[in-house]
Amino acid sequence: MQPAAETSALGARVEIKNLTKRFGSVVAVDDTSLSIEPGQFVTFLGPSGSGKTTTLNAISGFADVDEGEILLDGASILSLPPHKRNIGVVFQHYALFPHMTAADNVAFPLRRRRLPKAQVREKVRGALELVHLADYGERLPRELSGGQQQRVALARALVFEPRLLLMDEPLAALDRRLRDAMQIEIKRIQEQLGITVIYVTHDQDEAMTMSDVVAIFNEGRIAQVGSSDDLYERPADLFVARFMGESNRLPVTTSGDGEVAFASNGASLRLRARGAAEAGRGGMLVVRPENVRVNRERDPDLDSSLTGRIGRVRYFGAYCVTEVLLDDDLIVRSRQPVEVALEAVEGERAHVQWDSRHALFLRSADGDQLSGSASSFLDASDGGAEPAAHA
Amino acid sequence: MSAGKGRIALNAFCGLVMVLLIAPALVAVPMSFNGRATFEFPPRSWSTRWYENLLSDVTWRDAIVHSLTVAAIVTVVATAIGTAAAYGLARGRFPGRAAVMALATAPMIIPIVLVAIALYAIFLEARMVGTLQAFVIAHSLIALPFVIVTVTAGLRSLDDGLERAARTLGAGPAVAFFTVTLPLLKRSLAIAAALAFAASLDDVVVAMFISSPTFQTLPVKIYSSLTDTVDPTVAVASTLTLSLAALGMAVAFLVMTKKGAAGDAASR
Repeated sequence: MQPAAETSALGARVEIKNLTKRFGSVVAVDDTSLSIEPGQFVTFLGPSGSGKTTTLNAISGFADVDEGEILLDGASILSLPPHKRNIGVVFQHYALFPHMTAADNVAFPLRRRRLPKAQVREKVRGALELVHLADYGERLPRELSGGQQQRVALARALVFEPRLLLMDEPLAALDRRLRDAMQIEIKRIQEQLGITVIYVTHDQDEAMTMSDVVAIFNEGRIAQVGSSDDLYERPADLFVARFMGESNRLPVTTSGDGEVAFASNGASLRLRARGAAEAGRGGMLVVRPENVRVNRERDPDLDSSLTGRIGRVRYFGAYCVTEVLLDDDLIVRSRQPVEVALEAVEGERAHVQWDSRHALFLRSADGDQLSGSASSFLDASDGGAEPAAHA
Repeated sequence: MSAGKGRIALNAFCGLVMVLLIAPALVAVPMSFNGRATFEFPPRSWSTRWYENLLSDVTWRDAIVHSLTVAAIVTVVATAIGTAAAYGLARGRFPGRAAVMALATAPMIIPIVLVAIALYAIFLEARMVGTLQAFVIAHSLIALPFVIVTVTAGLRSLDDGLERAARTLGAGPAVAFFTVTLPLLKRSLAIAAALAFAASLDDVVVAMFISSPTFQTLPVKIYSSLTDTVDPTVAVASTLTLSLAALGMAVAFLVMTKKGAAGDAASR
């Protein structure tokens, strides 16, 4: 869209300072601060009720703030009503006006701003072209597919050239394939316009593939802010480790600098792990399934090694996940190439190994329910570990 | 019994119920064409002289005009106030909302004669008995719960995210309401208006109390002429009222079953 080219790299700087929002006695957002650079794609990731949507609503103006400040390019927006904030919002259920055509939907914000008719027509055409729906302007929302409706919603939120776009789980109602296509589409548009985007989701894949920065929300606070690989490789705490990707977690106690003790079958096994400092701290050794190897023969190149019996092997097409039952009924999962994994025989003894560079020690939070159990795979939502099933 | 026989039996039963519901009202229709000044049924001779009488008799004509005038004003007043009330009740968050809702719909539940007595006392005091204003106020009161209930239901089925979306796009609260919510409520509004019109046209109890010899509505005129004289013009008035009601029902039915662009939130 022609006007869009002119507005490129005009994203807003957003500063959230000590934001607090309570609903009765429940603290939905608890003293949260975050600084967002112009043109950044920032994802708020977290389970439901973690405060991400409330924070978004505070920015869009639908949640009154109890304490704190929100600045857009250095100016407070808290005293402005939603319709004067000039922030684009894309809603989960599109929120297209069912009695208006796609073009009228897109024209709505322009008409509210009393733009001349010719200009409205021009901009609507540009916005619909941007989302590849130039020929669909005369359709009513119900005559469009879910993906097309979402595109119209996106065009409508962008057509008045806001410098900040908020997206609240915009793809949650779409099927997997369409979601992947829309992710690429949204990212392309964001880069083309240079607009700042705040994107709320509870889907970690979505967060990882699209974001410059991910803020992980947990219980009203931001647990960690960083790039996707930051959060994946260097999670600040067990919650982040559990929420970003899959992880194996072994209960350990630190025994020295870079060293932890893992109680296995009555014996105490020493393993190396990043993040272990002073001795005597309880926590978890975290290692990603893709860094774990399961072999009949011990691989001398990998310095951390446990033994166990091979359990289920799950086939995912591109890879397999092999479960290994340790002697004390903990499960460690390994993501391996299909041809390697399918050689494994259930019940056979095997070595479970990884390079200690990939092992990270994280302290247990007080009252953490995880202690005493081990790994968990594909459990980003429940965060629980499962006991091994006995044969 | 076979399925076919069961179906016939069911249809017959439904038919019987319909006849029982409708037939008494339809008795007035042949009676209105009676050739003589009696209420005999079926009539032994036929004419349209009572229709002529209705049109030429100024008291009947006034009653019809009064009824329609009151109903028309009440439709506008009750729909406007009721829609505003329903909006506040459906979207607002304030203490005692449930109590206000109950209070607003109370005239539907309280025996109408009590309402009539109360209104009569007030209008007597204010010297408003037999005025158009009194009728509009009283009938709006009666019609309001119908509007509130209908519009509240319409609002509940409407995604309140739409109004939020409008707000983020630059529409103030009032503009968002008039450009998004109201157009999407037009089906509910049409039904609410029809109900308000019918409620006003239908009322006889309150009207009996607050009418005067110079200001009567049609139901009051029907009632009073029945008690004084044997005049088949009553049957004509009844037939007209019936036709009007049937027309209203037909319109409401068409609006309710109409699908597509004109539909309310259902087409979301």
